[in-house]
Amino acid sequence: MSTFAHTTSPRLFASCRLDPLPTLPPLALCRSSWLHRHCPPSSCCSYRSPPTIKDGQVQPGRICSKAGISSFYQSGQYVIPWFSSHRSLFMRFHATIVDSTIFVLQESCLGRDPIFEFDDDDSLISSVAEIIKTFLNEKRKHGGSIPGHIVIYRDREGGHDRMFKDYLAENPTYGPKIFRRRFLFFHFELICCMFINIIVVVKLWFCFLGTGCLGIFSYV
Amino acid sequence: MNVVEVHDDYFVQKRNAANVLALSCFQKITAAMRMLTYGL
Repeated sequence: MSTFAHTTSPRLFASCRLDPLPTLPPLALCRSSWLHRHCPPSSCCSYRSPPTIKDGQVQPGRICSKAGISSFYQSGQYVIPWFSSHRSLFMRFHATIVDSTIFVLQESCLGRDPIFEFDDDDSLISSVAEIIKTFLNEKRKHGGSIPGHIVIYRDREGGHDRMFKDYLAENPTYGPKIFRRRFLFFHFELICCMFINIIVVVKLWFCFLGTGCLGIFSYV
Repeated sequence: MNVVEVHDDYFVQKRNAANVLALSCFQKITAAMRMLTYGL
């Protein structure tokens, strides 16, 4: 377990049932038609945005990858959707690719299917590895992530903290007095007026779009 | 801010494919206000 150190936000798997495999042997990729038959790569292996978590459930995301890995294959989290006639099932894996060997660690499984039963965990894992392998060589629609790209750290969270501390927090750096001195026209009443103006203009604009009337300028 | 978040999904702070947090709701609203007032 400890060899597969990965960061997962605690929220992400809060409601998923976690059943990680205790030990994981290095996998030789075996050919498995099982997953392909029921979940062919063309239907399940197109790059899409990562699955979004809504209401604590993994939405039907496709297999997704992480960006910025310098190796040829990409390590990261993968979600494999499984659609049978009875139920849909989502399995989340963490794949680590070292020297063209794929290490797969099952992280969670959402949903249960009585028909969906593998003989043992090894066959499941190797099937998943096979799918990930075929999928990784696929050319992506928009080019995908490019290994080795520069990632600029823009400190956006820090920016939020600073701005919050400057204007909104208790004892702000720039209180209302300084704020008003800086932004001369930004008195409270004026801001209210501005908002009302914006609302009026937007409403009129939608009226204009809806009815096709041309009398908008007479109101403004 | 919560009202704005509820109104439009754009203002909700999201994560990208690399699981990195994007701009917060406060930052997005501030940027929108700037654009409305200064026109850029």
